[in-house]
Amino acid sequence: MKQLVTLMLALTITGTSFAQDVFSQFEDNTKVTSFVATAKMFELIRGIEYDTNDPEAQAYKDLIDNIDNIRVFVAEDASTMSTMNSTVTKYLAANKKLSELMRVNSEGKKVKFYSKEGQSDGFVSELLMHATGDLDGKQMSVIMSLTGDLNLNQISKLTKDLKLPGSEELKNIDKKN
Amino acid sequence: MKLVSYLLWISLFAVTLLSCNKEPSLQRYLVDKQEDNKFVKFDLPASLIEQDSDFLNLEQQEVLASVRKLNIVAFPIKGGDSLKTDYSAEKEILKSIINQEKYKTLMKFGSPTQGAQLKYVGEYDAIDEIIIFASDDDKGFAIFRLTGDKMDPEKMINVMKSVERGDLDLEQFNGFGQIFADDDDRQYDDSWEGKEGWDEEEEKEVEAAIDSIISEIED
Repeated sequence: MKQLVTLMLALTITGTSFAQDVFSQFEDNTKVTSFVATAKMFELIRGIEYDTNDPEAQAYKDLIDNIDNIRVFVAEDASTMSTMNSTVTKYLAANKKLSELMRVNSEGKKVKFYSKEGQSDGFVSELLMHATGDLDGKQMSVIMSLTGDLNLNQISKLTKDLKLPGSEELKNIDKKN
Repeated sequence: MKLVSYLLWISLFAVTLLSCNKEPSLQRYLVDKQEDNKFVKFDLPASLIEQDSDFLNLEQQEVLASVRKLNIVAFPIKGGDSLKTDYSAEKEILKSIINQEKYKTLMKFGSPTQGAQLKYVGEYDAIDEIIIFASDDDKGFAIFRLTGDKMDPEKMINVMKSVERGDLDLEQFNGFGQIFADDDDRQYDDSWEGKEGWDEEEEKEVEAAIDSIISEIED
């Protein structure tokens, strides 16, 4: 009987923690600029017929083939920025498998990349970017979280096209890995 | 042991509560607003879209047949700050409706003044509803709702691409965007602005025309 209860409790707890991860609080925060694309979205894009002769379309296709989720959060006001920063710290403390990939400190900005190792070399299953400080001339805090089976070489292309503050540092990511 | 049964009862109670909960649905909300003239409504049953069999191939016809209806409901706030409180209230209601678990997110964008969400109801390859909710604190919000029966999004997108290529005529939708346009950003041909006087050639043409008219009158 006790075991049954423990099991039920365990199921409830895992169930809730799965649905509510630490970053989802920013999705509906009115002070945060956010962008979220879910696994289903990428699944849908994958199903679209495209021009196979277009090398750029092909490159994008390869890129998104392995992305599950992408989330970007940008805050510009002081209190939300500090919430974001502490959330990242907490998240990293709780997920020991995320290790620092690289760190850039320049001209008043700090950009850090964390990754979780994937199935094979050069691939990661999660990439987290956290940028703070003076980005594009404004004080900001930026979180970008990508999950899937990600090829770091291709990720740098995506973030470059998204023109995300701080992401320009990613162009060097494959050299350091 | 007492504790155990207590816990069990609590969880049973919670489960019943959850399942009894009458969730507000988007359908209900839109029906409620049918009579409210602060809202702009646009309904298009799919049967109105011409299903010309010469025009569409079999797959495209199937896709069109899976679509039942398109509703667009908009709450424009142009020309009056008085509507802004209503706008925020209605926006929050709608948000709380589509944030329910059955409305699954495909994509979401948000900023302090704007927001857009792309959602669906049903199974991924058999969708019952596609919902786009977009809001802008200066212009208002709009909700697009496409209902149907087991719609396959991949096929639909491929049909939409054929619309882009010009295979399908969707002229019916033109003009809806004007609801949100401020009076001063209505499109008009402003190419004449900045030009001073007439083009030289035009000038000659006009002169010639005037000359001929004058000579006709004189005759």
